[in-house]
Amino acid sequence: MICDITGMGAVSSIGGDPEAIFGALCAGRGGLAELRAFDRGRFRATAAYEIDDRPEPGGDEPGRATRWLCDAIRQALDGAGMDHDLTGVPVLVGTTFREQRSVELWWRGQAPLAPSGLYFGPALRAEFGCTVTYTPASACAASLYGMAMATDLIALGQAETVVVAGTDALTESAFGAIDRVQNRVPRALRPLDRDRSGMLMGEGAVAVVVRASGGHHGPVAGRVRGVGLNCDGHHATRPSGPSIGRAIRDAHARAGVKAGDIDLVMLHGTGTPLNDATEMAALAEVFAGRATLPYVTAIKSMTGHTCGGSGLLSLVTALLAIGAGRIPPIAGLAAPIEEAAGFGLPIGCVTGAELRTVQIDAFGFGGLNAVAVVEGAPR
Amino acid sequence: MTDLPTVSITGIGACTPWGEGAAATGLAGLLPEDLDTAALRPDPGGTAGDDDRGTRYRDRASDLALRAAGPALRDAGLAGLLLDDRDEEFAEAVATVVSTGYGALENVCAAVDTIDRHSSAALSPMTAHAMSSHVVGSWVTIRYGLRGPCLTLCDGPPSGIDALHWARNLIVMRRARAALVIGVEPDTAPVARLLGDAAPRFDGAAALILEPRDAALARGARPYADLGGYARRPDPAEAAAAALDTPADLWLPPEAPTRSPAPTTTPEAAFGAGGGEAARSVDLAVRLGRSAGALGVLQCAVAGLLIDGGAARSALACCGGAADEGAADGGAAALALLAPPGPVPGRAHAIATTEGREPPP
Repeated sequence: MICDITGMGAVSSIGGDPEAIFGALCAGRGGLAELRAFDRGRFRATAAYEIDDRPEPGGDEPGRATRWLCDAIRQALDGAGMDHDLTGVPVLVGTTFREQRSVELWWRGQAPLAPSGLYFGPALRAEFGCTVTYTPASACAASLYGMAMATDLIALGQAETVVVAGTDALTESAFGAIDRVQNRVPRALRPLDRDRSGMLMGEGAVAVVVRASGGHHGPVAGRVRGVGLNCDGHHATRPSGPSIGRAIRDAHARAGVKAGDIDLVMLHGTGTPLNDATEMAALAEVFAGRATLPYVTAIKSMTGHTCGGSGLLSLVTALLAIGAGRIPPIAGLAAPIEEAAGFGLPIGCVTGAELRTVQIDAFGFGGLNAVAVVEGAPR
Repeated sequence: MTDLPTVSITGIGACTPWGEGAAATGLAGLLPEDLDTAALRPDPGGTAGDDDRGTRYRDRASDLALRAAGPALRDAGLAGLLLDDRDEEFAEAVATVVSTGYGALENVCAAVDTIDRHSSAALSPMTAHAMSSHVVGSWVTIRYGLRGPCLTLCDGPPSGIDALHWARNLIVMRRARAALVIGVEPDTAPVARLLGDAAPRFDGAAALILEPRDAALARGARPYADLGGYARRPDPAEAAAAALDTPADLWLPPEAPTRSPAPTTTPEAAFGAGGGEAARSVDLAVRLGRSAGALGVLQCAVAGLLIDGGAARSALACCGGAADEGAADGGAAALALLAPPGPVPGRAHAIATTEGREPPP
């Protein structure tokens, strides 16, 4: 089911809307900074790609993931030419951690929390009159899971318009657990580089309005051709190349495209030794036989890992890249890993690129895989 | 799209303070007391999948979910295809859909305590994925090698019913041939602090297997019930009316707001259409206490068992609409469950009921 993206919104460490973010990405400007709200003495890693919007330096406040979510949705509705009344419109919020940062602050006695504060639905009802909120918490593949669910709703005639979003704020529990499990201490997130040392978390939210192609008269920012989903069912944190390959093929089949049609892959690209090598090996296998391999890029090199929303942020970036003919660089990439050999690697921003079809990867802990295929708006 | 398959419940498992296992064993204690339980489908027995409980690094929600999932897979006759006589092609087509509101809180709060007392170095390296709300689905898919889509829904009260809706969509869109649906809520320290003692807190899980009815019949499985209409609306009454436009034999009402006076969960008081004229109300929420994302799955498990046992031809489950005092709620969901058409072998006699009208012939 081909669906139109009619409006887009995003907030991240490098910009407060999609165009600002895309501009920063093309300029190679990242959002890396010293950890702002956590006690840096408690962690080995001391940097992240945070949104600098806390009222007091060194302190934290609850509800940031929800605030950004509402901001991104407002932007997307404005872009789509819709009012802010989402009565009856399904909203799918992909997230890894929901409002778990608010839970952490509450647990320490630093902020109040009501049971309804665990969920995005009540806040979206208060803000947009939304009564059909679904929160797919499928780890860091969540927002592309949400996109698959949205296109299914439209394909089955269960909805005409759907808002797909993603949001995550840094949580201390996740930052700590990842800090514990990584062998080296990353100072920056450097996808595909031989000297990459791991993942660093980022923050942000993203939202798009999805409608059936041809079923509306609104603007079109681009089209989703299909989304593939699966799960490794194998290991809590270690990815599976064959399983990723299966998800990519599922996406291509649902999109009605061949491997040879893909001009650019927006990598999951977390900068961990195993993830990058596994993803590139899976891509090499899927794209084997092509005369030239597609470009690949990884926006996490500048946004950090924005977790549940990261796949959708890559998707929004892909549509802007198609429209502008520009591919953001992989920041910090000096010496590419062997598995990336043959792929187009944007060391600087690529301009004048003729991009028609773009693949977006999003993978999560627990072996969750989601892969989307998008194309530009019809001209 | 045309020729969409009817999706049925073909396996039921549960792990609650009142029972643990498949079918009637797992739901023992949650069924109406006047039921003639001789008509209910028995637990197939066996222990496939239940043999690794209490793993050191696993949280309570994941343990409860696994203790419901194993019996449900066994009940549907699918455990063997995933374990001893593993069929890889089939495993790649089994989706997992989990509904939980409180699942990961135990891990998150324990990690914060550890970081406060020591540092991140004192955390277990096995818990990296456990800080995600998805942790339950992660453990369940790993245990059974389930390789279809894996979805976790975290919207609180409506999520349990939503989980069946999304599982059906995954099947209808050919993303999966079968789905394991789990509703789980653990009663852990953070949950106790968050909810307080105003109402009992549920601690348990229910699991269902969903398949296209035709595929289930073709492999010799017997559906408990078919999934009917589903609706999401601003409040329970609207959702119930939209999901089923004729009176249901069974009405499974939502959880009442605990902080507001005079809960109105009787169908006569609050609901029209499907719920309002139902012959009989089975109020699990009163029994379970605050059960958030688990309730809808438990409702559908009980409804499936009662429909299969002949106690009803139709049921309407409804969740959501229960807000904290002064807060908006996230809306309500309702799902109809219907007896599969035609005579079903093994359904020997109807279950006696002491109230409401007689079940239709």
